[in-house]
Amino acid sequence: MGRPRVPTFLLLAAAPVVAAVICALLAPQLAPHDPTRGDLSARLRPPAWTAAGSARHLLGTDQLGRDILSRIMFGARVSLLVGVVSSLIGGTIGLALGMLGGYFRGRADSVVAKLIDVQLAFPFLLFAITVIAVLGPSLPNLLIILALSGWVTYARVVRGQTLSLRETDFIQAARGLGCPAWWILLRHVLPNVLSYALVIMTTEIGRLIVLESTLSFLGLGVPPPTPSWGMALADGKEYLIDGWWLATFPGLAIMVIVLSMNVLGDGARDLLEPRLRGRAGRG
Amino acid sequence: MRDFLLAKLGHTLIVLFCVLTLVFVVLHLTGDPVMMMLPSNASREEIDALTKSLGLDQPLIVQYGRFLARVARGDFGVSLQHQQPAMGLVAERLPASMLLAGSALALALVVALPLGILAAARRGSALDRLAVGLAALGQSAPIFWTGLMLMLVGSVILRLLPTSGYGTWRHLILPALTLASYPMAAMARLVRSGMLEVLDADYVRTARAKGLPEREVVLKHTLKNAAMPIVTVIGLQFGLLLGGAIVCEMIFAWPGVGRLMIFAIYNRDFPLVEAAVFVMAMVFILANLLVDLCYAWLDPRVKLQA
Repeated sequence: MGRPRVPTFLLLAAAPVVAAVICALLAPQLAPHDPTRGDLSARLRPPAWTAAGSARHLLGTDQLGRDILSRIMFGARVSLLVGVVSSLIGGTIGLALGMLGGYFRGRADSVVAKLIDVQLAFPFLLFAITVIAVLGPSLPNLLIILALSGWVTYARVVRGQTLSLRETDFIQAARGLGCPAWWILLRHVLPNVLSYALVIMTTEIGRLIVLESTLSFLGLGVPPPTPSWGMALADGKEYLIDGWWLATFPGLAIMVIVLSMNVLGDGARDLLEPRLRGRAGRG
Repeated sequence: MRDFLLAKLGHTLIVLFCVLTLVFVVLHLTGDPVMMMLPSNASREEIDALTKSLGLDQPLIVQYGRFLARVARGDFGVSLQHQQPAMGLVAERLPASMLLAGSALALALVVALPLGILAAARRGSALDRLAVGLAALGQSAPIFWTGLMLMLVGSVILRLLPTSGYGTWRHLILPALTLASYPMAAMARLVRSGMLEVLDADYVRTARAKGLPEREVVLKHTLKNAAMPIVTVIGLQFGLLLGGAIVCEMIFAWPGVGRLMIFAIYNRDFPLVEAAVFVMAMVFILANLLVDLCYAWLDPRVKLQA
């Protein structure tokens, strides 16, 4: 059986993500203006294609005369950084706990299961808001809190997979040969559950980007003057009547990225699942 | 049934206890609450007096015990900003939040159920593709952006509805629509996929072979069996609804618990934050308990597993 063909719509969905990554990496080179420097003589300029717009500011300017396009490009840095790093941390925690619970069963497993239960029983935004209210908003605090929000999904799926993997012949054989548990977990279990974790991660990044921008919108995200999409929207809310473009474009950026991530996640699952099902059948 | 109820109730109590401990740890161990409650130019005497009056000079375990005892009496202290009992302030705002969340949930159900059923019944049609597309968009748009765009169209451009405030049904439309957008999309997707799964089942084929009209097959034989996952998802949506309500209340200046809590955070009014977090967590936990009970009622097998 050859490599599964990647459908065209997946390539289309990947385009905005690639564009956002390029924007984030090369923002200082690509952005037409300094995102934090305002020009008070050019406040609330509408986008270039409207009657009062100018080509100098393609998507217009905000209430302080800062270029919106540049702020969106720099904002991609915060959003993507937070999304990727916190899902990596959360994924690592979830993978570790899921594998430990699923492999050792017994007491370790019931501790993991209880932890999952408690976290699912508590609305996460409420937890995030409470913690940030006390610790104060900063990038490291945000990363840790968002990472804590995501581990459960990984842990549940990985735990289930590990539970069935530990009964397979090759794991039983490894145990029979006297391999230590850590070796079996790293060498035999991890490679088999990693693909599941990667599929979850695709959708998780999108979810975390929304969560980050929600916290920014509530004034609990990365503190100013660092540009972020959520904060741009919060600013735009005050100027909805005088400048619809302030809130519209940063929100559009979030929606397109999250939509792409969701489509990519669904697509990756569809591509992966038949293959994995086949493997389980053989094992 | 009794064992099932007891197990669920026990679980609820454990979760509630964890939530309370979390609130205590977060607010009492991360920094000095006294310094947060007082202005930065407070004198040594003021600091000492407040420390003593809050019992913060006691060992931690004693403080924790007192905290639980206070909570059991529903006493969360006095709001620093409003100088009124914190619990009373939250209770005052609760009906507005419930009205918003309830309307949004109802709206989501009223739209998502027929849309999901129709999309599944006419799989591959233009309507199906439209429903799937709308659901994907609805699930990707951050709620605060949906809210701002609805406000832009409904209030600023069309001038049909008020931008914010509370009081009449006209004030409710935009916030409820905003809050409903995500659960509506999620439920429509789920109803569609749930129906599609069941529409292929043997008993549906039998019903069709008996010559029942398609309408009856879909509504009588399929919907009931597709209801299970839908109820679960409504339960899962409740947490999102609660979080969404906070954002929604902020956008539309809706005088609910969420808005009260965010302003309490801005003003470092910690007794009020504690009370608000506690009440929201309670509502969420009770809603989940209700969903579990519904689940057991819909599917007798659930009771046996507990």
